[in-house]
Amino acid sequence: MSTIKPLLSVRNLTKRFGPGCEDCESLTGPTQNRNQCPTCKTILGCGEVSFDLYPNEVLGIVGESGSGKTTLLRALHFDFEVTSGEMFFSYLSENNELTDLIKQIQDVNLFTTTNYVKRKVRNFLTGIIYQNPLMGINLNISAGGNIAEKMLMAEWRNLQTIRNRSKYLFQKTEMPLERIDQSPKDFSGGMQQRVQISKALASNPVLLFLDEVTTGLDLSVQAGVLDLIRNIQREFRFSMIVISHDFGVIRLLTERCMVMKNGKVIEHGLTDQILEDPVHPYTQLLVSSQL
Amino acid sequence: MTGKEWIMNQQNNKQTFLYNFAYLDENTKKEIRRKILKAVAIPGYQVPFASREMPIGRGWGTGGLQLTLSIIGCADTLKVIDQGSDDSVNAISIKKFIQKVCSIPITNDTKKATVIQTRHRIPEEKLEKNQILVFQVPVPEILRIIEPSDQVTKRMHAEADYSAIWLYLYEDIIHFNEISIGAGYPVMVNQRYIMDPSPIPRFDIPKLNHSRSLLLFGAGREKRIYAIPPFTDVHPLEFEDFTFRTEDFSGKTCSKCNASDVYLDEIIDDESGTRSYQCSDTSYCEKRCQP
Repeated sequence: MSTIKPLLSVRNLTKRFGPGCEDCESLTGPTQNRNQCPTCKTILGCGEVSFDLYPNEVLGIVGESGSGKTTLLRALHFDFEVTSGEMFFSYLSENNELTDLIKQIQDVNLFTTTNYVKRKVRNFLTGIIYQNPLMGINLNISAGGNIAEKMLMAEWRNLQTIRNRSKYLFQKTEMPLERIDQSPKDFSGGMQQRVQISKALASNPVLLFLDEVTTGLDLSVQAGVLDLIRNIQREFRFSMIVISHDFGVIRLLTERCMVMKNGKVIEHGLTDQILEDPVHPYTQLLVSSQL
Repeated sequence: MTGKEWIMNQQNNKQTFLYNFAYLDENTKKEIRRKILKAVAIPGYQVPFASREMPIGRGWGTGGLQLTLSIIGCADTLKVIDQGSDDSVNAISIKKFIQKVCSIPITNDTKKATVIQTRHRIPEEKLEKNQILVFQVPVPEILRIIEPSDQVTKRMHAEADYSAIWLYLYEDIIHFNEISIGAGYPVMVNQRYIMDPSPIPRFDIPKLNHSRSLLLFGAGREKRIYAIPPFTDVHPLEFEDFTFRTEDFSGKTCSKCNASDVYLDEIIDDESGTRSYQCSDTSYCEKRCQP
């Protein structure tokens, strides 16, 4: 196990929304059962989160609303600056185009690199699927264009390849191919979500972030989308971080998971173990509350 | 002659100075020259400058005029063209003004000029190392077509976040099977910045690549200077399977000088409705017509 290098290492990732004060540390977190500091009103998004993610692994994050799951994921996607922490990416690529980038970011704390490098990591190596499809797609351009955007970001410059890949993903997500050039604003919520999924997968990312992807979908589509994500993950062998408060999703997709509360990780381990034998009282509550 | 003794008020036999050499005061020229140096050091990057009030209206070539006035010296020979023509109103008024404040020789001959100020064309005759071409730019921000905010476009340039402009081209091709940008086609400069080449026709875009002369761009209203140093890589944005193409004049020749490998203006006779073509570069055409 120790010989495998983690794809992603995160150490002490902290994100606070607000000025922060001396009391923040002691007055927030699961032990205090709150994430807003009563002194300075700063909100703890996530605090001191550390974990490793290995190649081809799927990591789950569970927790109640406001526990910092999405903040953690968006911080890893560089959607905003973090307060403190380290993030390392190491990936062995056979793809020559990526070798320069990989070399450039080797042993570099990505949170402190330039936005230019962050943008490259984001464009070439990762993909994200937000809970709200409108955050991930642009309604003013066609569905095919939205999927193409991700490939254009990764500097794909062959129209035919881009077009074929869009069509392939459209079919894989069970979307009607004749609607590929329509704007997603004429699509249902579920279809918009599938456009977003196609977009995230388009450029073959090595790391995919999934934020409650199935929450807004009806049950039949949920199963289809989960199946699709699982199959594509097995086919292309990328790593994933999956957020959900649905233990069914976590059980289906992930091998390991972390439980978050008030911005902190309170328990982590093998998914089966956590679901069968939760240690932390809050996890016990979560697991026992499942319908 | 030094700058100070240039234009004197001869009224009442009193020698007072009305204007400095080349109209602008020396501090302004110094500022603009510094900005030019910065622009040359970072090819394609838009450098802000304190655009001065000029005796012509903003949007009528004040950016190009300020560049010309700050680089011109007594030994220079000037040529000014407006869409290829030496004799249009804009070109004539700028020429007259510069001659009044500099007393330097003016020419129509591209080969003889050391500084050429141009609106929307590059002369047909190949420019040499000792020549400087100054472009008048209406809108320097190429990303303006897809993003209205200057704050955002600055960030996009900084991070080389250019997927949106590529997507614009992609959508154009999907909808029209053609890229609808005619004049001012976006170019990638030195593999780093995407730049607006000012509204020159596509026909002139290849001339920007590895040009022997220095190319300066000035936008007076928008207060930006940018540059392409000699022998810089400049490539139009294109897809591998949808390559850039220029205006097609095959089978058409200039009705005056019979030239065929030049940019032609289409002239429609109002009465008979017949179409004929003429060189857009008038001095080149005249040169060819001379025995």
